[in-house]
Amino acid sequence: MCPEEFPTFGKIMPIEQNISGESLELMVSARIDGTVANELEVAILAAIKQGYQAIYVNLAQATFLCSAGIRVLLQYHRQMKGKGLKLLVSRPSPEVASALEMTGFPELVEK
Amino acid sequence: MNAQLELTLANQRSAVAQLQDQLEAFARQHGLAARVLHDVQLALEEHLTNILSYGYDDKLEHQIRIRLGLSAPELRVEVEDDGHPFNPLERPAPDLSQPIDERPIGGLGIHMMRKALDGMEYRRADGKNILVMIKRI
Repeated sequence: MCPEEFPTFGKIMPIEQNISGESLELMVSARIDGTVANELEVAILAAIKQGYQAIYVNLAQATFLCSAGIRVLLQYHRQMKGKGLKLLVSRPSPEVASALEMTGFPELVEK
Repeated sequence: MNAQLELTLANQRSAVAQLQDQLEAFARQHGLAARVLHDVQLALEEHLTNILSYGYDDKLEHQIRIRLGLSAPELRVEVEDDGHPFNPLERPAPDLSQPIDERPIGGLGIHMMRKALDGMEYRRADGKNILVMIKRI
């Protein structure tokens, strides 16, 4: 297999996890393009499987959020909400806040 | 300030990421504002993702050509691909007033392109889609 087939080969994973009781914070410090959106989905799915009551996606260090990333956030926000649980964006960078505002999803952000 | 750059990329995610890096270098070289770079990168990310996801039925490698033209007060980015006919300008805008639980997930990418750019032009020629993105600098 050549490295080009695995775009994250050899790179540091851009998602950090911080646990606080039944809450999990996923901190993404990368441009959230299509590839990172997939990685975020994998991390969220693992967190849901581990039974966290609240998942906060900290996007203070994410300088870019594309529609694929918004779709991941929206899908799992709805899924968690449906179970009486929480998935929200915390501390959005200006670029992230603008992307969520422009697509009409400011409710995804923790107040 | 006048500058041009032509780049070609294959229809792969890794090539898109590399293009974004090249765009960043171009922006830095010509002193473009961070906001201008961000908005153009966002529009390109959305459009190229659509091409990669929906443009082709085969598993073959396709080339996508990007032409950057900087001539104050505009940056024009032309994207030429040989995928299925696809005109982003013809897609309807999403209804942002619907409650969050009812909003459909589709159509966000093109909406973001419209918001990020100051204009878009589309034409189809010689079996290619040609989309021009316009951003005031």
